Amino acid sequence: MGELLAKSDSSYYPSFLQIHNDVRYALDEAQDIDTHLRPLASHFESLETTDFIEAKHLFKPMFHIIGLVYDHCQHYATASRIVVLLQEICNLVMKQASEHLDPMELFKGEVDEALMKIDETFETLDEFNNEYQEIRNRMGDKWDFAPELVFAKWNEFMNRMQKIKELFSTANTFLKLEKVEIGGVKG
Amino acid sequence: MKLVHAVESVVIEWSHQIREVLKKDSAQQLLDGLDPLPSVEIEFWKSKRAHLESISEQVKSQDQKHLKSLSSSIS
Repeated sequence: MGELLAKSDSSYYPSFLQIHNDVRYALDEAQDIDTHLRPLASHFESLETTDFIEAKHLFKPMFHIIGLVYDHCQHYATASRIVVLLQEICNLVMKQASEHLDPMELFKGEVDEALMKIDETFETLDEFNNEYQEIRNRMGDKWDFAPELVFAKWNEFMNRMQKIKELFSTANTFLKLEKVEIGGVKG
Repeated sequence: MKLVHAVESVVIEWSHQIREVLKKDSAQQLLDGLDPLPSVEIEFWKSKRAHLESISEQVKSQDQKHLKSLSSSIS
């Protein structure tokens, strides 16, 4: 077809060539990215299926592979691409954290138990943060995008978590006060 | 000349269809304000790869087939 268009000097020939090249480029890109992302699939799966408390051990290997993908996958090594992936990972971690906390149940049970659960959740969340910082430091100048691009929602989520924790801590303190009996001046 | 026109209109139609596939963006769900999970990203590239492989396969193989059927329908 290309030949025919070229010989007849068609005005569509350049766009025909263009689309050919675009397809070839896009195919290269998709193959490259698909191949490199595949090893991550199992990491995401285990993050989804592992109990959130146990999940803190999963972040290091996951970020390690992400670093490798960034270093070796030419088409994925741009801020706009990696930011998408990191945002989605944050979404996953937040989802798992909320499910672990089970907010509806949180208010029904004992306050100190709830507080324990909140602390556990924080442990995993903090671990995620630490591991992210580690990879970010390791990537150095290569990851020069603004953290807000990835963590806008995450930061809000952490603020809410902090508020929940404060609420339960306060409730806990009040409950302790309730048990205190004041014995008057004579003691 | 007729053949050229026919080919041109096929090329135009293809271009539109192919552009649709090319312009798909893995960030679309994020831009739409949804909360996609990382599996979405993996699935996206898997399916984009499959689509493009099939497009480039078709462009190659259909090239001659199409041309034959076009020229026979015109003459």
